Amino acid sequence: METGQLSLADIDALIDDRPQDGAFRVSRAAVREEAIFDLEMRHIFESSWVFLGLACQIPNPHDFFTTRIGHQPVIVSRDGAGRIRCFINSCRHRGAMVCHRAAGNAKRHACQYHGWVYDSSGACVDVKDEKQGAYTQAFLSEDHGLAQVRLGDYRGFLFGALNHDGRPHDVPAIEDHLGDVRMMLDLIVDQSPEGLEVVPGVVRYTYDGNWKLQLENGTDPYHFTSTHPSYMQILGERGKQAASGGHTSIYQNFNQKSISRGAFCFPNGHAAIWGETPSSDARPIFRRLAEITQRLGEARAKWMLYTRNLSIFPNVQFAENAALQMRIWRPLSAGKTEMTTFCLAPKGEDRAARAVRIRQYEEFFNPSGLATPDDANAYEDCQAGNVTGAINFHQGYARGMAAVRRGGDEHAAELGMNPSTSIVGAFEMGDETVFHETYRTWRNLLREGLERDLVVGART
Amino acid sequence: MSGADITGIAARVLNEEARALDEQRFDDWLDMYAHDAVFWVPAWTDEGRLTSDPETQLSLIHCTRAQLAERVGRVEGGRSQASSPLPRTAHIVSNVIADEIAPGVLRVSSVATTHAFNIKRRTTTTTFALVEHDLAREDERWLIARKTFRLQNDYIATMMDFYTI
Repeated sequence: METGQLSLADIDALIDDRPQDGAFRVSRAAVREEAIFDLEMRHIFESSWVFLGLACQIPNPHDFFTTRIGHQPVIVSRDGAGRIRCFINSCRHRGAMVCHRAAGNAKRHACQYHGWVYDSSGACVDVKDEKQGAYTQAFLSEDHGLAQVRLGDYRGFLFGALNHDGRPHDVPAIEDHLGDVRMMLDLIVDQSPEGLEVVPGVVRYTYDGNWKLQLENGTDPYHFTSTHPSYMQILGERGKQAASGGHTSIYQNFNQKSISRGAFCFPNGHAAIWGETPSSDARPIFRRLAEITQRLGEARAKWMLYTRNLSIFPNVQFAENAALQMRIWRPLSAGKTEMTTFCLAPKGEDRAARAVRIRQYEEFFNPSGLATPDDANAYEDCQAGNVTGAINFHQGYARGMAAVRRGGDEHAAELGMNPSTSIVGAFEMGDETVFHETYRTWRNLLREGLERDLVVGART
Repeated sequence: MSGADITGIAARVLNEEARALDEQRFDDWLDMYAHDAVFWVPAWTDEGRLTSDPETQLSLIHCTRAQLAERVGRVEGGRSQASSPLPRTAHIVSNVIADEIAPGVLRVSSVATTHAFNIKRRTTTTTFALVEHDLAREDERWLIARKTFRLQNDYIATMMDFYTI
């Protein structure tokens, strides 16, 4: 497959979606082909809403962090007036990256090449030696500021939408893009009346596999018992040794209880899984349950104690099980992905609860922990096994199809959500319908993008 | 003891630790740690600082000796696909400087370079770090009472564990 030669029929063939026959299959080309990857970058990552980070990462005027939207470096900055902005991290003079730090506080960002200077709103405040530059009016009438990127802010969850080729296309308002998945984000941000914060320290790693392998794994209960037995064994041993009383991990008692699991698909590719927590008393917010119940009611307090993994398409997951992780990925190629991961916590948490949170986080989520290395190894095995077109379709999207229902169920109703699909069953059901809407969205964005490309191609 | 003697003792302990890891004698490696030892790999912040308080900030690894023993058990139990087969490693210890900070307690700084060859993928990763050990005299042995591993290249290739650094 080469990008320039992909047809709409090629895109349509990436998913075998036949509800009438109970079939849903995804082509193995989806994670393998660089041509598909190029389309993904241009028509998903560089053309639609992409998660950037949290407003609480830049609480003060002139605070900033840098990230990428697709391939494009951007700066997310709180300007002097306190307004959050996102602009392209590329000097208007010759394109050099202006800011090289991951985060900090700066009133000015100066390009080190020819010395153009920008303020924290992205405006150009100095074209070096402008007066002596013998510029024409044509240059002087241009805006020299760093190019602003459309920013969406839902309760401090920041998103940016790039227009990769300058051709007009519309993205919906961020609230419409998120839809009812907002209620799941609310469960994260409302855990403390003071809101959310990032525990200091960031962990970055790469794996040799496609970004969608991480996207899938985050809402995949089916892998848990076979990928993480070494972790479960450690927790089992700890449980035996513990004299009595509280649990140090939410997964203790995992085997002793029948745990139900549910999943929701949402429009625009978002998805979530939820489940009862085996040992709720190991959750750091457990001891604050009375306050939470009083403030938000019993249903939402119950949901906060549930295990919840949330994918916001295309590039972030919030995983709340052992602790609360924000994992953002950046696809580097069809076969390589960069992960940037943060430990989140409700503000004002007491020191003991915070320490419990951090230890559980490190143990489960870090690439130096006891679980994530096994996930990442599995992604690499998937990528390594899938190198030719000898087999067309995966068989990995079929579990749960006989049980899934359109629309919301009584669990979704507890949060006032109306998802596209709902399912609930035993943990062992290991639902895979949770990926279906995501792949439909993915295919539709690629198709619409390629259609735009073909129209432009026909004109030129 | 002279400074040279102390540094010689410390280098011997650090080299033995590296050797035990490279030969995958993990029980011997664990046996070099005091029962209340802490093994700590702090994370970096995006502002370019190492985290300094593991109770309120994130670490890459923060383990008691008991938790190190769990990690050894996990690796040797063969149920972790990330640790099976184990990579072949070469732990290189250099730039050792030791000071006696209290009677029977040495504070040792060193530089660690570790090469790990992933047999499954046929790839090699290299990590390098500034390391601080506290060694405590217990009977005739010097035990590791504390190890802080300041990972300089914290852009992790897939995974890391006690045996890859």
